[in-house]
Amino acid sequence: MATQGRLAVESVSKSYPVREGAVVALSDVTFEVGAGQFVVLIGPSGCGKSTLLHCIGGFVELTDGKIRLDDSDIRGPGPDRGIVFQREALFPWMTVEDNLRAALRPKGITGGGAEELIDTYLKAVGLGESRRLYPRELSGGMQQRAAIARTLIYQPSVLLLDEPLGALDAQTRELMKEWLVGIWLKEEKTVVYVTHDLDEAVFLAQKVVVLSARPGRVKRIVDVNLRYPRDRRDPRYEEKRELLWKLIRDEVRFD
Amino acid sequence: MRRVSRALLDGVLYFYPLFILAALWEIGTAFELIGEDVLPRLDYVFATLWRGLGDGELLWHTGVSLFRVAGGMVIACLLGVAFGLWTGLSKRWDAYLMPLLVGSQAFPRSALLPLFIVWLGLGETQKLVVIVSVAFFPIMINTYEGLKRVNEAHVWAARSMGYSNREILRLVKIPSILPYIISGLRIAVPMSVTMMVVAEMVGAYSGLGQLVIIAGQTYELARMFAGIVLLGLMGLLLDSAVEALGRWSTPWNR
Repeated sequence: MATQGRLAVESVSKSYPVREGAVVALSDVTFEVGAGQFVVLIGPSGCGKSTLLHCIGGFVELTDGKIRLDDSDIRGPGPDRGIVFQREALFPWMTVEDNLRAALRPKGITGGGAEELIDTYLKAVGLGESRRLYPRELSGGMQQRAAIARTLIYQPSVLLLDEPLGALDAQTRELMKEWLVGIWLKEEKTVVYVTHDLDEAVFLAQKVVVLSARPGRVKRIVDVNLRYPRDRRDPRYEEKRELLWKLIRDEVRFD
Repeated sequence: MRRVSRALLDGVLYFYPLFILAALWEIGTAFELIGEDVLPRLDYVFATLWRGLGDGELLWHTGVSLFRVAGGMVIACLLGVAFGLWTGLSKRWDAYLMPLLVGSQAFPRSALLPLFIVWLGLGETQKLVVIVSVAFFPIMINTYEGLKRVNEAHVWAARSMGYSNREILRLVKIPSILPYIISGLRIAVPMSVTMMVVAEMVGAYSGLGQLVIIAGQTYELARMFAGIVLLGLMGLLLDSAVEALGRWSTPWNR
């Protein structure tokens, strides 16, 4: 099991100044993520779940509270946390392999060592043949797999995934879910995964943090103790899904 | 063979308005439906063009004008990108410089031509300054806008990989703004050509603008049109050159 990548989110609040006053995006959010755990943040749109992920990434400053990673406070972005966005995550001006190369350079990994790693990771995500293509020449699913490879290759202990399947078609999304479980079991990394898709939450997570509508607060933490790969015909699967829907249903409003 | 004829057909389809115009022109003048004081015969224009290019005289004027536009655009590009980066990266210099730059853009630069002549004479420096004064702004403002539109996700990704701000400029921001710089250049091309012609008409010893205005004053319409055709071709050539530069420098952006 992973020994690094333990996260503690402690009383985190975040508000944004707007034209008049401020919008409170997150209010007093507290939860923990064990090393190597797969945690899904779920909630209605606008509840601040992406903001929370960006806070963990260190890209956004907290208004209040703190976030700790393995006993040190998060003060900014760092290579111990890798992030993958919903779309256009790769640098479009670089080929797939150059994207991976760019991720290794700050670590001082170049030359033969880099090429070996790039080979390994591209094969792991099934993109060995597409290494010389530009992101635009890849399908949506391939782009996301390449983006995940680019993040895994510099060995962060935490993987932050911001609706990584949100821009994909339904069938690709199904395949990608299975693929994600596989890669997570193999890499043993902490994953914090933002989505509004209930099935993604139950299919992927060991722990689901349900956020309320804005301002986002922790509404409930739901553990999903089912074996991987998960079987949707298992009645307990459906139970968890139902529970999550009940929790979120009250929060969802028509805009 | 099939591909060649296909390309030929595409060419004809692309340029057919020109062919129609040329045909109407030639028929109209050959049958004297249009007077010689209005339009010279098209074949005279081409004969003049051919002769002038052959003996090097038109070629010389074309070369001089091309040199001025290209030189002006290179300088404008360097200055425009530099100022665009400067104002786009520093909030303070944005506040100090932008009003001045936008204000100077609103002012009609052609009104300053006589002043440029008084200060700089009729030489090449004056021509370059005049061209740079119009070509600078679209390149500068596009560089600036490009910086404002750099995808934040790319900056964040680079930051979490461990790149410093300075490295992110080179790794993320510069490639992100390249397409913007290219479109700035494309806007600057016709502005530069226009301003170059005006500058050559107002005061110059050479160049196609000077050739056209003198030919007009001496009623040599065929010669005038030869100059106009060459100016049109120059605009087209420069635009294609910038487009090719764009394709070469941003191969991902097709």
